[in-house]
Amino acid sequence: MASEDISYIEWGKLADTVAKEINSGARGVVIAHGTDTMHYTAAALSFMLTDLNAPVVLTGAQRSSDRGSSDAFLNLAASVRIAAESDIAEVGICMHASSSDEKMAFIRGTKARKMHSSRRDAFRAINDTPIAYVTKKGSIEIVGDYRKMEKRPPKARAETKFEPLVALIKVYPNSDPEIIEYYLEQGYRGFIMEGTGLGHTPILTEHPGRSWLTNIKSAIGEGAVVGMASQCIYGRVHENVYKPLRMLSAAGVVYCQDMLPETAYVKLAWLLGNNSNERAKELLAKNITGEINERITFDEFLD
Amino acid sequence: MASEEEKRYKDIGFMCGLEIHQRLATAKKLFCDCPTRLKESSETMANIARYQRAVAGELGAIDVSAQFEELRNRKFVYNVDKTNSCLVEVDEEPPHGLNREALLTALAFASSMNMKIIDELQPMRKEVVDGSDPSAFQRTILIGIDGEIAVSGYKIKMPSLFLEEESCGIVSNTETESVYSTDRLGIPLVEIDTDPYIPTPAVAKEAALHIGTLIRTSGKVQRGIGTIRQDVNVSIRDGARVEIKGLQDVALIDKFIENEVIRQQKLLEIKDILILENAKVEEPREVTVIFRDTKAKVVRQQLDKSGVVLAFALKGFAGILGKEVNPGRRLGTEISDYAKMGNVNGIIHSDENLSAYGFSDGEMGELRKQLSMTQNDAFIIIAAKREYAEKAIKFAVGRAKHAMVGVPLETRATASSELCTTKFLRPLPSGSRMYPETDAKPIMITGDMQRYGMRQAPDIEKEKEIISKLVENRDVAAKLLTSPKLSLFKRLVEETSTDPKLIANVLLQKFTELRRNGMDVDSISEESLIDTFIAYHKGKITKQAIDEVLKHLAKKEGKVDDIIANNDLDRVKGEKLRKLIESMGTKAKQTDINLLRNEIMAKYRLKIDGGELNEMLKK
Repeated sequence: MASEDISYIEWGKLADTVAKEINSGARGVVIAHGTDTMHYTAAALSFMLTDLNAPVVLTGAQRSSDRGSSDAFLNLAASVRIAAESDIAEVGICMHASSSDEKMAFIRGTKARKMHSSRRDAFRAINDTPIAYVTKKGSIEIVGDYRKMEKRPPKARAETKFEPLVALIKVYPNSDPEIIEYYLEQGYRGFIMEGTGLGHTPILTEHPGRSWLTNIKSAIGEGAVVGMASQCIYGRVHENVYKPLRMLSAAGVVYCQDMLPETAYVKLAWLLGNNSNERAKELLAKNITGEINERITFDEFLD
Repeated sequence: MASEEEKRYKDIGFMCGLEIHQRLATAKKLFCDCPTRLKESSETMANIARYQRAVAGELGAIDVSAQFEELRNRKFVYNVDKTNSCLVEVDEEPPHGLNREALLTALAFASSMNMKIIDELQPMRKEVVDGSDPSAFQRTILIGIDGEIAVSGYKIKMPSLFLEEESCGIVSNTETESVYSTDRLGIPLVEIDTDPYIPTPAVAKEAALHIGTLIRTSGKVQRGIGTIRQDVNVSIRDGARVEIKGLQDVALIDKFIENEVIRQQKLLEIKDILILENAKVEEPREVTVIFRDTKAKVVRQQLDKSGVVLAFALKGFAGILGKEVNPGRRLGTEISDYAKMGNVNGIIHSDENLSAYGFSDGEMGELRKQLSMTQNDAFIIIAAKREYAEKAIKFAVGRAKHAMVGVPLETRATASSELCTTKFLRPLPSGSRMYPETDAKPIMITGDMQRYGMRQAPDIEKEKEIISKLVENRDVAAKLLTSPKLSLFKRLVEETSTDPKLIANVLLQKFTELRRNGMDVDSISEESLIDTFIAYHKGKITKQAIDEVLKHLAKKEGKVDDIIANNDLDRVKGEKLRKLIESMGTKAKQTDINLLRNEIMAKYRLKIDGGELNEMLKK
């Protein structure tokens, strides 16, 4: 199955399978996955696998394995190292850390993103540092904070309920806010806005019908949860700095800190699958499994 | 009831106020989630360079001190610390929400000084011009107003308490750039102000002690070097407001204030003379040619680096530049401090011993001629790279002209802590450097928060009772209360179960003794002190050995356990002690118990507890 065709149904099946393997004694799991949506799957598994006490590693290749130069072999070998030897009780992605066949990075599942359409080192930790690097020779170098495996048997619970009626909406100049009305008519319960900069949508525009505030208010009025992430990808959204931010925040939009838009989308849909709208709204901007960092340090950008 | 002293200061129009800055011991910083506990050395993950410009404040005016710093065109480099800073410190991310722990602590302090609490707090930006904040401003919030404290029979008004962000620590400073570390930036601190009507320097010192004690008793403040700083504002009639910044030792505050009063008096005397003399400061001109072949080293060195010599005449200033304004400081020194802001080493003036510099009579004669000087006049020369010399001489001319006006408004810093003298740092900032922080929301103070503040307000009398009970002595308790070691004392009592009397004795007397002998006891970490007292409490060392361990700790000779082992300080007790007595007794054929005791103690003073030895000898 191509990764762009994977849906929450497959995420649920994957989570169930992983939990089953772990609960029947696997000390870690490696999942081979197409790379395009691997970070969505990694985020979904991060939320769905609760009470996780084993490493779960997603990996793939940017060059197909039919060629001698493929990155698949090293990625897979490094992933197995993490799954078999590390004490990291988290879901993550393990792929090339640079274009060289030297070092692979293990990146937290909620903080990873495919940042290049073709390069081997396409996956990056966003607003975070990788948890670990694995060298070609197989040694693991821990560089970030992580949840450690506890001294009890490997274990996981799969909570796979997921609300498919959640939309990830990108705003852009000239974007039409009526799209929200369409979704509401379809019964959507949640929206993640991929806003500009610190988390803006057009609001104080002079062009009629192009302010998003009215539509966002009507969504919230109907009980939907609206979250805000930034299309800048790097950095944190903020609800005070500018007037439109304060207006959106006053209208009830949840500012999702430094969460990736894709992660915020997966999180909200998972929360709505398992909770009331009110509870989901409460939990959206609270850290559950490493998706929100209180501190972004200076070295956590591009490099 | 006005004392003789109070009357004396009243007569000269003395005005004096304090600003006390104290870092708070919260878990996180004021506007982000970085930890406030600093590591011994900071770990730099990147260096960033910034240039800053002066911006207009909310009243549209550019602040004079801001302009002054911009003039210097400095490059600011920030060592970005890994553990204690994130994007907020380096001005790359907006502030997070205000730290609640810091806010509640500030509320408690404000309550303890009987202040009115502001019910809607508005974070403000205070312009910072020396580069010590990468954003070029410091966030500050007015928390309380109109308070009052009682100090030595006087009521001191406390008009304001602010909650602020700490600035960066300076790493190095060269001619063109300042390097800062971001580790301590953003740690919450309180600024507590008195009104400017403190009647005498002695009362100012008492007030500073009182405020310091009050906030320390809360247990919510950081301790150690640099965590408290006091600024003093002083002026006399016809003088000018001068702010002395960053005084660390509260015990010397009165001396610094007395010296500032004298300095202003002397400057006013100088002004009177200059007016009588019809003095005038001439414009500077280049006189490099005169010194082409000079043997005066300070000038020669500059000329060899293709520098220039600039000079100006000061009509009617003969003998004035050499007049002492404070111990070891003359008017010439004051002018020199201004010149140094142009990155030169200093000035040379006509009231100095010029032949000692190596100038020839010919050079001096020619200089006087070119500057059209008479016997009544003085000169100042500056030799440096042209760019620096030109800037420096402008500053020097400006300051020299002000000698005819009186006392300049200045921010000053310690010149000598032995002599308690100060030197010019920068012009005094005017009021135009505050404007609202629009990145942070105003904070409403609820009734709950107000009541929390009142309940938690530190209370010196209550604290005195508690400490008195611990040390069983009111004098010792009083000393501990005003000592910066109070929190440390409490921590040691709590964590080592050692007799509080012994801990108080070590912190107050032993420390003073060792300090006098040149030991840097204040650099000993709290953890090492805890280990020392635990070692004593568990019987690993004797009481006498505590001193020894401290001496080695002050010399940074490693951990307590290592020091004990390396210096043979293990206590000999129990069975081992009995055997030692036996062997000493047999060897010396000593039967007189007192003599034996003295002999053993002479040899093993540090290793044996006298009480235990006596007990054992009796048997």
